Amino acid sequence: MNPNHSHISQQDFELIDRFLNKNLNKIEIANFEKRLLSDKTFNQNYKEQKLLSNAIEEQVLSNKLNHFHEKATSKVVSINNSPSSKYRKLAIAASIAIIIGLGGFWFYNQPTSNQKVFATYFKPDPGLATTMGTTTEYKFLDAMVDYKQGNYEKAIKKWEPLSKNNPTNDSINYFMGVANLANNDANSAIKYLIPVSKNEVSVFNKEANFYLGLAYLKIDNVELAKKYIIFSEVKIGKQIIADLEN
Amino acid sequence: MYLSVFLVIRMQKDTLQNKSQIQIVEAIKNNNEHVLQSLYLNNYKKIEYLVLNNNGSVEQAKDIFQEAYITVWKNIKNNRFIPKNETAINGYLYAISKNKWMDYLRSSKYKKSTSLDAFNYSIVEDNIEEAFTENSDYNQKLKLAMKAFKDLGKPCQELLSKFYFEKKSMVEIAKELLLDAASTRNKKYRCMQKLREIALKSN
Repeated sequence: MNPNHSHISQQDFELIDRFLNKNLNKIEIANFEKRLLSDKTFNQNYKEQKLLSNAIEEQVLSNKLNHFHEKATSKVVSINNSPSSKYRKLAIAASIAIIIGLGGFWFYNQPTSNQKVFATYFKPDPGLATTMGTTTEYKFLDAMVDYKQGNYEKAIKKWEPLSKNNPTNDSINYFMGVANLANNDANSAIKYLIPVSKNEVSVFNKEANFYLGLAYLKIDNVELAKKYIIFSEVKIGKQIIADLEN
Repeated sequence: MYLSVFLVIRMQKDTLQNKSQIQIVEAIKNNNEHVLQSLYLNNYKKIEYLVLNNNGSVEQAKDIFQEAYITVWKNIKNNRFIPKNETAINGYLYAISKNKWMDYLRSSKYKKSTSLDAFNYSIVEDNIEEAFTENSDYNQKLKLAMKAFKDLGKPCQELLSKFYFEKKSMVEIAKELLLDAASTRNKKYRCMQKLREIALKSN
């Protein structure tokens, strides 16, 4: 018998579990609490059991976090966080492909098909978390609030002076690019996205290539669109290329 | 107090959206797999970005984020942090990760190799106290108990995990394990006794 921890009967063990799981009625709770005060061994049993159940929970959670982590990092780029809408987009793309196929030669040659593919796949980056920090950071994130609400023009206006003062900042360039693209100004988007696309150490590098590809698609430059979409290594890129080639 | 630090913004649709405050808190307390996973997937990249832009590596980002994640989970579980909505949880998780990373950068281990002045992008400290401050004796015992659980046999791990983590009823567990109710109860008792012995013998 180990002197460092007390023996516990199955009955007490199950009683403590029921208390921890809030499965006791008022009277039982009152009796339980009374016993905690008067019975030293019971009190120790209770504390130990609570510790053990916390330890089990935390250990199981820790294992799960590693699975979550694999999922969080397995996507090449998380352009889109919502899998359901991704599938919806694929479905739309597939149906567009079928319509194009059935629609005949004239439809295939319409210049608007690039725009359709663009509209199918373009979704602005969800943006960054907005916490408050330094003045520059504040201004940047203040505009981020507008961006997240879809007020791209307002966000662009707020980011413009920051961009002039920090022409090489990849975060500002990237979001200026995506905001301009969302605001239907593909030429400005290209101007801001090119430096991020060249900056291989930027965390936005792959996403920048992807949006740069979409920006070229928007202005019907299919060759450059394909080049940057392939370069971005975004999974959905293959689908887009297939849509463009079909 | 710290909630005022964050701007409340509309987030994109996901699993957590449309859940009321009570539902989110309850889901986290019950270790709802979908909600726990969404919380991870919706926040990890932001922390990775923060750490990578502040002299850290991907591995360090993972460690810091997971530590912060468990702190947030514990504080919600113990009612030390009562979030108003999902955005508040995300903000809290971000702030704790940031604080942990700042602590690391200030630590002697880090200072040996780099100077703080070397930053081209500085993170600003928020005055956020981590509500979870349990004494070191408790934490040490908890770590030992966690290790003991890892050393338990698979059948015991599975049963205890279903009851204590997944919060399943004994009836459900008995069904899943193809056992009768009495054997399941006995088995759970024996598994916990075994865990108790390994976990607490060294104290």
